[in-house]
Amino acid sequence: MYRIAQPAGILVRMLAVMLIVGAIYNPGGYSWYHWVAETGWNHWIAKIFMGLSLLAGLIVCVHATIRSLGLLLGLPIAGLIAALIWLAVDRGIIDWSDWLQRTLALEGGLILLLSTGVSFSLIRYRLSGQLDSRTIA
Amino acid sequence: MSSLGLLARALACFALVFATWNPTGYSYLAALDGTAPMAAKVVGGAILIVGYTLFLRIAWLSLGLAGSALALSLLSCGVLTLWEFDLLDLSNAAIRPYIILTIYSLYLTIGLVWSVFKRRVTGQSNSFTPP
Repeated sequence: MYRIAQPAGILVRMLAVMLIVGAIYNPGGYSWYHWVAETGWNHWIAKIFMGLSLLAGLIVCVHATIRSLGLLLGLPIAGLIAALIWLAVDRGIIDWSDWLQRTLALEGGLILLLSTGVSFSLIRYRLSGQLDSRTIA
Repeated sequence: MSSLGLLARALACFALVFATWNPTGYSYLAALDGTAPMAAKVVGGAILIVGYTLFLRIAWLSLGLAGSALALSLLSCGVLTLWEFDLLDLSNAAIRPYIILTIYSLYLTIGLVWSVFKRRVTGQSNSFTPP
């Protein structure tokens, strides 16, 4: 038996989302995007395979986010994250004119939104007892 | 679901698919030509039909059209990737049927565990219509 919505579990989900999004693109220069852009058609089947794997992971995250947050909660949380980035820029923590800091802030915001979405059904269940269940047939 | 549960489900899917047909000559479709009594053939066929109805419906309900397409293209692409790195010899005709059967079995396994996986990871469960 496992307990749900523990901080460690949420952290692991967040790291997994970070791995998927970061593996697709990150400003560090080692990502699927850079692999394809820099080495061309060499090993193209492996590139398609990795692309499909990462796409599947991203679809799982986005679908879970749409289902757990929806527009009603998704837009406010996206707005909150945008406002937090704006505050950080305003306080001088992030230099918006710097490409690296800007990209990292936007990608970090996306990771924060998606990881919230992936964990949110569990958080909501622990918080309120409302189980996110969908009728399939 | 433990890793043992995952293994058991995968073995059940492989058993169903490989029992229906496999290239070794010991399978249900091969036994249909044999001398077994008619009743035994019908019972065997009924068991397989029950298995397929159960597993294919579970896979279809949990994955849907888009998920099935993604899973099958991912598995096919994985096979081609192994071939690209010379880990799999696709020119060897003897192993081609095994590859097809393995892809099919793995698709059934993914469909079988997908709802469990999703409920465990995201807390979002699938359910049938309440009566």
